[in-house]
Amino acid sequence: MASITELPVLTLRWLKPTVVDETDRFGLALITIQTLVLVATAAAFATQSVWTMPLLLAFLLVSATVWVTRQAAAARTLTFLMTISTVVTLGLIAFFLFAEALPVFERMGVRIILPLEGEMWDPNTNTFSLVPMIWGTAITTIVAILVAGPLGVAGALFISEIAPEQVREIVKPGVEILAGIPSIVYGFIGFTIINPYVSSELSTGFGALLPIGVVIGFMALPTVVSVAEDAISTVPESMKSGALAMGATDWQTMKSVTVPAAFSGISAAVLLGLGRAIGETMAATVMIAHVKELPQPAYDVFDSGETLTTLIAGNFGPAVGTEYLLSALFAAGVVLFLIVTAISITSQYIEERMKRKLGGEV
Amino acid sequence: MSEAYDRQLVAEGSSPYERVAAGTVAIAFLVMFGAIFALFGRQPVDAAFAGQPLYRWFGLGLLALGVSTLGLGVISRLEYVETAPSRVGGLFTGLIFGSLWAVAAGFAAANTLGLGQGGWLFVAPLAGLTAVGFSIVTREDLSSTVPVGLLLVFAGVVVLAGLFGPTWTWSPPDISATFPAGIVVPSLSFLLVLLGGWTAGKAYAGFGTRGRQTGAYLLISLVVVAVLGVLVALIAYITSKGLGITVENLSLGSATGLLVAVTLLVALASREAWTVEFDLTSPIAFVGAVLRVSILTVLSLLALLFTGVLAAGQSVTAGGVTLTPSTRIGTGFAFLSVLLLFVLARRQYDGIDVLSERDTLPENLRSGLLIGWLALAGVAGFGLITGVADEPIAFVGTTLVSAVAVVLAAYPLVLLGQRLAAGESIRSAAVAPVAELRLAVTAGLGYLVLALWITVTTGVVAVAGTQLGPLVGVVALATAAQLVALCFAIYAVVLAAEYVRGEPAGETRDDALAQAQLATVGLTGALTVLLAHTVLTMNELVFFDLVTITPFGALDWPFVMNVSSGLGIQPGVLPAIVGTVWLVAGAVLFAVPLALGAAVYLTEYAEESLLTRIVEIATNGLWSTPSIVFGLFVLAFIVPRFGNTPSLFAGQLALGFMLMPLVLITSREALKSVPDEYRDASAALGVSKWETIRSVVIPAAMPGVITGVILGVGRIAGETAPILLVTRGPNFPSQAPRILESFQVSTSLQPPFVHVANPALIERASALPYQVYAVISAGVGEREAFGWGTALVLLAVVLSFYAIGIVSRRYFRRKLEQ
Repeated sequence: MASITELPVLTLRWLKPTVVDETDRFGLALITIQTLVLVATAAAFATQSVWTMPLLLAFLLVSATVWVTRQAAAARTLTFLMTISTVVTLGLIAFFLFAEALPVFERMGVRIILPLEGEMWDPNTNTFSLVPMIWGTAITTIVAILVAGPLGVAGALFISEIAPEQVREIVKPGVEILAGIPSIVYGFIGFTIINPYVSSELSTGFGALLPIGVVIGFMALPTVVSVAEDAISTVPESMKSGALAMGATDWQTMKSVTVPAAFSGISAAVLLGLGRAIGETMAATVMIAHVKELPQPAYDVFDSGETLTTLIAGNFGPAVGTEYLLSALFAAGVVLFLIVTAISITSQYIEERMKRKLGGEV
Repeated sequence: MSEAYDRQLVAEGSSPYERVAAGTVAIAFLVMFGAIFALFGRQPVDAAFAGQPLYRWFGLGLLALGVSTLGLGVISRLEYVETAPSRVGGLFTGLIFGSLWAVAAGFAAANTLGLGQGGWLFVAPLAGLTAVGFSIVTREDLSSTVPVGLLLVFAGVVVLAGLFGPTWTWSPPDISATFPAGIVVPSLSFLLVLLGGWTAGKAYAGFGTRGRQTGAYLLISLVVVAVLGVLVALIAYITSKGLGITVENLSLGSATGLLVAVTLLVALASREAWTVEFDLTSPIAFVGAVLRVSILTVLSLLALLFTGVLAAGQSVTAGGVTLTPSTRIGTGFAFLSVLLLFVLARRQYDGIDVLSERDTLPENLRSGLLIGWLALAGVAGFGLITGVADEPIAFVGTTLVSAVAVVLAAYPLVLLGQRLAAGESIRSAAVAPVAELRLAVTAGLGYLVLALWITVTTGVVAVAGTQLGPLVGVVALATAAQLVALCFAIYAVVLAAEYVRGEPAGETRDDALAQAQLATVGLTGALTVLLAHTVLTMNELVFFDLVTITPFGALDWPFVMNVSSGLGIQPGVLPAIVGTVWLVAGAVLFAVPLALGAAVYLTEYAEESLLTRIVEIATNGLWSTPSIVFGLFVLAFIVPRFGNTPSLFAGQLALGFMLMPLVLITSREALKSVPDEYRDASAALGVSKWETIRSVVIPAAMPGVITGVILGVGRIAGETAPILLVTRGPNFPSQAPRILESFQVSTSLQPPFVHVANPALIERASALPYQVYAVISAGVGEREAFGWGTALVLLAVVLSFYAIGIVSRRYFRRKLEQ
């Protein structure tokens, strides 16, 4: 059983190669105090205690002391703490989303993701089902991927394989600039131009889902292009040269060698574009009609509806201060978060497999 | 890109067959443009165009294309031309054409021939299978052209026959949309003509593998051009709709405009790539050269315009913008212009390596110059920031300034004195410190002028009743020292010229050039500090009764400088702009150190372990998380702990959380791209790990980090969703957030012992993207122009961030590759 005096040493050893020399008692003590104060500050902040500010100041003071006396150790500890802050942030997001969504989960149980008879979204009776929103997200996302997928892969092929150097210098920044246009600007154009056009020319109601899907697809396009272009340029030159040596044309090489080799990366790109399309909020919020029902019939892409993101953004105003309605919005956030995180992890797994397969030669 | 790029051994002129194929592609493009024009212009299908209803033109186009495609295929099959088609057609193209024929036949059978469901059940599959079978059986040149050609002819005939009249509509069952002919005809034509053009592209290259490559390249290039075309159209459209209201009632003083135009002109024209070296080797370089020349021309024309307005003394108004003949120059504009000129002069001086071995500027003098500037700007600025109200501090500041001038002037004289005392002749003693003398004269004079000027403009002529007092002595001493130094400097330069006589004349010329450069540095530097003084003290400066440097009155831009609602004012977006600035500043302050620290740990300290895997997964997960989820998170976590109200601070944190993964990923890339040789060399010199990171790795990676931060800022500046949830200010705010003035610090004996607060941060605020959303949620209506203007300003802000980021990345990459 380790004695209490060896605890700091053991903790630090667990933090991997020695931050300070084990014989440096002063440094050890300082670092231990620093970590403890930080944990205390975080706890105080989480519990909204009045001690947060003094503890924060104490942390700053101790950090300054360590910085002045043992700078290397301070640097290492601080950067380590900053690193785990990313994991902590993700954990906090998950925790708080679930915590806020708990009331409605308790009330509706698993029915929140099942279709209900009658009104599926009724704040008056506190009956909430996310099915119309999930369906709306599904439709818009499918349309978006049908737009972003082929166009994105074509663009990526163009940039990495077809274009001469100088055309690439123009097209690549062009795609990045396309990624930079804020989504509310797309939304403004959609609201003032696209929606009136569609509803008058095609005699639909306000906020048809198909044009919204097309706009979202256009917004997800740059993501697909840049990730797919990364994947395609990772394919080793030797593979392409081998095909060319056999007499294949550039296009045949692309079609039969490069794209199949980069297929994992391209599918990761499409998945990331999918994630981006699912998470797209503002353009859809201002264009959609916020009808919290399934389209009749369900595959009617020109009817309007609601998506998970537009639900949160559009219903936030009336939900402030309520119990179940706000909680239901958080529940939508939970579903959104779970879907997007799952997509992100899947695409990372695919990318890793591809890197291993191709051996990383550029 | 494969290295073997140019594989064409012999380039011949094009044969008639190729020209026909190219012509077919051209017709295809024409019809596609026409379709876009008809769709966006909402033209009804029988709108008159050059005498004929629109549908006739589409029908003609389809027919012509169909005939041409058929002809290309038949001619190739009959072997009148030498092509290299494959023995059988491709399955892929066969399936496409098969499904198209199935759909077309199905529609024709079901609707036109009245067979209803039977048409779909029997005729459609029959037609489809026939097309696929045809593709598989015949040679490629027939199988890729005949189905498309026949379909085009069929469609052309149908359209020409007027089947899709103005009253024709199609309402698919169960779909709540009705497609009129005005939509169907152009869309259908677009699609079919695209296929026809693709086929003609294949024919152009003689079918076979080459043909398929050309066809595929044609399609892909078309996709890219279309996407970029939409981008350009978007930006152009928003600019056209928003520019009018953005510059409405904009009033600019011509003196300010002239100063800015001339500064930019000088700055750009001094770069060799802009005026001297014209790289005309490739089309892209040519376009770049044309662009640069046009920018220079525009700036010159603007400068002329401003000069004209000033000379005529009359205001000029055009398109809402007014140019006034005011000789008042805005402080900010003047300061920035002169600062730019100073930076340019300094860089040019650094770049001139004309000082030969025997005449090198001593290191301590160069440092002295820099320290002098810092002292001047810092102390004088601090002393003068309190203005005339606190005269003792201002007095101290100006005295210090004069003291620096004296020291700089006296130092070479001291050197001279030493040499003379050591017994050297005056001649050799004067030549030795030539560089110091030059510097003394230039910098010393500059400091002196500055000191005098500041003295005069701050009115510190009388201090507590005494007239100048000891300052007179200092000034007199400095003047005397200057005159003596000047005499010696002239003497030294003459002697130096004697020495270099016989050596190449270039050295003397270069010396003189260096002297001129140094003088420019001194002059612009002095002006910069002078104007910094005006910026800090908000005083006015009058030059020779002609030109006034003033904080207000030079530029009046209502849309950018007014609040969004108030009595009788033109609504502007100032609260939104200030809100965005503070949101971004707070986010950057929060996220960048955090992300940079994490990146340093991950690249330098951490080994591949479970922890790094988890962190990578978490970072990528955060990167993909939708912005609204960040908003919900901050709503649940931060808002209850900071006033339980929407606030600017919560918005800063939300955007900071969004920025963190972006900066982390780009910083990691930047740190990883620092070559290991740097670290190895540093370790070989015995530098510890942390010292290496701090002084070698991080500075080397800084350009990449900064680029990443700029691009990240561009991304979060345009985000609305988190602001909507946690900051949500008023729709049309009547005041901008006042952050700097609202800091409060208090102490108490109870926890929390020190209380730092800023009430303005815990208030709601607006931001540019939120302002656009507010316009929409208020129902647009008559505020539509205001919405377009706000959207344009937002777009300009975000795109300029992206442009700076992209340009800086390219610049640093080029520097790295050198």
